[in-house]
Amino acid sequence: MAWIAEDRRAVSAKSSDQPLLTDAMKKHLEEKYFPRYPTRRAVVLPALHYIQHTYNYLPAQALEELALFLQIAPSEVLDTASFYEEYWLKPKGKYLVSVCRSLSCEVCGSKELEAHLKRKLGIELGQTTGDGRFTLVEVECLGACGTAPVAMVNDVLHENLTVDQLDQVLNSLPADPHDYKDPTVNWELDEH
Amino acid sequence: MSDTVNITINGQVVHARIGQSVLQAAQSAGIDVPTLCDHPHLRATGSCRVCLVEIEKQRMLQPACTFPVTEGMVVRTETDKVVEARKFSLQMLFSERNHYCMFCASSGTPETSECELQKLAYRYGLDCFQYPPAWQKEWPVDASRKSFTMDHSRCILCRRCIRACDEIAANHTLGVFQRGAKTMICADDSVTFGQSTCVECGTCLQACPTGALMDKRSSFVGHASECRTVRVTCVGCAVACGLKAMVRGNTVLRLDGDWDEHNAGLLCVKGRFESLRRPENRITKPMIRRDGELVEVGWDEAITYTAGKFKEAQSTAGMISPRFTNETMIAMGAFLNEVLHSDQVTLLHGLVPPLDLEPRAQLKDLEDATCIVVVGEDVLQGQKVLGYLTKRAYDRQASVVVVDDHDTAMDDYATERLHLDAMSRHGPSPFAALKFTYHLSLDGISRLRKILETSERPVVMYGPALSTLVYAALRSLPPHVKFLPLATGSNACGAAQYGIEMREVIADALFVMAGDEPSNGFVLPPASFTVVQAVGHSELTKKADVVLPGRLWTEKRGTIVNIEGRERPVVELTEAPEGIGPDWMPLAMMAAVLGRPGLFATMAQVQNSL
Repeated sequence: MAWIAEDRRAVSAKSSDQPLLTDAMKKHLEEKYFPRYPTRRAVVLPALHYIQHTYNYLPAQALEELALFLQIAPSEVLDTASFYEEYWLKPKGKYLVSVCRSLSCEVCGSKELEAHLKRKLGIELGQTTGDGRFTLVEVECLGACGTAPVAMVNDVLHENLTVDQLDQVLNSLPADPHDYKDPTVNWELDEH
Repeated sequence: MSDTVNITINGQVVHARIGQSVLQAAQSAGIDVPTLCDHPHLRATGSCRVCLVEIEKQRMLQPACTFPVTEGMVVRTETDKVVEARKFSLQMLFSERNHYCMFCASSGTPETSECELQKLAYRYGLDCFQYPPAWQKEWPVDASRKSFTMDHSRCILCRRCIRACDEIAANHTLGVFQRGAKTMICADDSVTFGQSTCVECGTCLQACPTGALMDKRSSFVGHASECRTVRVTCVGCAVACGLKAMVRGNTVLRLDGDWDEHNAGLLCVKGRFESLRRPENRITKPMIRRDGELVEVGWDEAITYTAGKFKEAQSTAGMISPRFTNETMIAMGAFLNEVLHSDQVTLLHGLVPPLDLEPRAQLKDLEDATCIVVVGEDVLQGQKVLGYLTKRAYDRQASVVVVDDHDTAMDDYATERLHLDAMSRHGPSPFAALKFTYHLSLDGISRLRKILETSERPVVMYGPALSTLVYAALRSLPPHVKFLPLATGSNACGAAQYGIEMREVIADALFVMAGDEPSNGFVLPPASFTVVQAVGHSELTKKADVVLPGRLWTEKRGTIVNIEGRERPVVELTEAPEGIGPDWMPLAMMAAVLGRPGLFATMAQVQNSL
């Protein structure tokens, strides 16, 4: 047991002199999300999505600024952000490759996909490639057992995957992850 | 429609109010249901699953603390099924962290244990870890706060501390980080507690059921069962909060907020922790300055010498710290007036606004006020407990109006901000606090009036040194507005009752009762002879011709008057060092030497009758 005062925060909250939650972002949240919810506090989830969409993860400084903006305690923002695995408190790669590890997918060969990805990207689960392009994780059921094995690359689900198909998907990704969208989703409705 | 329901608990018919939980109904009927995360002064969350009970027509066991009573409900609190489930919950709690009781300050026998988890383990006969504890992981100990530590290994994640921080202190520092087995109590964005926005009020410490939050002073020095618990009054400021003091032998180990007093458990860092710091270089014997050096002498010599000097002096004056009890205030006034025939008695510091603004608010009025106005005082700096209560009002959407001449810590919670103008007051004063009067413009006054007229239960907290016009405006507010005078100085309100206020004095001989004033930096008017009665050496005693020892606040007996206008008891917790009598003793001895031996004969009676 260590009798030390441990700073559990890996990096300082302040990472930039400029506010990370910019005025333009605040305005966007105000106009788009404030009218939808009864309280400011309720905007915390979409706001976290929005910040993650902008910076690819949730910088501590942005969380503090968000707390101030939503008039709630910083601990409450962190409470929420640290609860969900889909919110990233540490930087991740531009593309997050999530391989389903549930029963159906495993029976249909998700372990081969995973092993292939580890070999191809040269990383273990939870790690990011040196060029910052890919982060590899395994996730619980993605809800597509009928088309197992499945994996998600950022927000796009890929079904009935083989190793070759997965290679193809990864090789054809655009340079800017924001350009990578699921053609079956109406992004006009849901875009941040 | 009746607002009570009849329910049956363990075969006993219990009348419960609608809205009560099963737990509350059981407790009011004297039926014991074990709890961990529940606390009578905090919102129930039902997270520990220890209060599970069997309720008929419910598919599963239900937590008594969050389950509301309904007519005809049948509850059983100690069936085999319930006991089995409780044991399982406790085993799970024990497996979550490293609960090695023998190393914990709260640990004890079934009778003496201060840990609610350990007590339940005794009660349900847990004699082994059914599941291995989380010894693989090193849970940190955060000792970065000055007065208490957090050992995450002893934490059961009941979230009482978070609720105490949110609901009682309204400080919102604490939260949880991560989830599942990784869950940890954290401060702000997971910084150490010492770096965080924590104000060290210690409300979480008071609420913690285990040894996770540990007081640095009172840990490992004995159980509460070996101590006396005394209900006393904090003399840190004029709020005069109720304290429960844990005293062992001649040492005060720990102070907790009294849940049944006006402060309802709430304290500030000053009252809970700083008030127990021992004074440095305590004065134990009277001293007379000879050739520039203070020399220890006997009481008789010191008193005779001092009395002689006061007899010779052209003019005399007395200065008294507002930390003294009413009894000492009376003695001081009587000594100056009757014995020395001087009307120059002043407070060393501490200002009192006019006390005639009616009706006077009580602290509980702040708890359901719809509007709180703070005029001319930074309550989050001075009377912190009032600040926390105001923040609580802000949290429940009451309007908070801050009226001040400079930025205050309360500004962040102000729904409206009005500005005071500083006006210079009559001439230069040795007291910085007496240099200015503050004025609110007529526009400001009419705005304030408008806010208060439309508010249902408004409370105005007003500071001293406002202009007469502002006080007049406050007096003419509608009758539903309640007033709380923000006197600075613990017993300044009591002193005001006996006509002792802060004013300028000019005298040849000066009697200063500094007592256990913690800080230096008071400016004394020049005098050819100065007597200082104090607990410890300070800037004041450096210049004094005679120094007399005094008593600490824990050694005093008497009463003080708080800002609510209520008389509050000050009780001796510890014995004063030998030879240091009650604070008024030197005055009585001097009165006797100066030919008024009977002056304070009744004072002892006053003391004893309390």
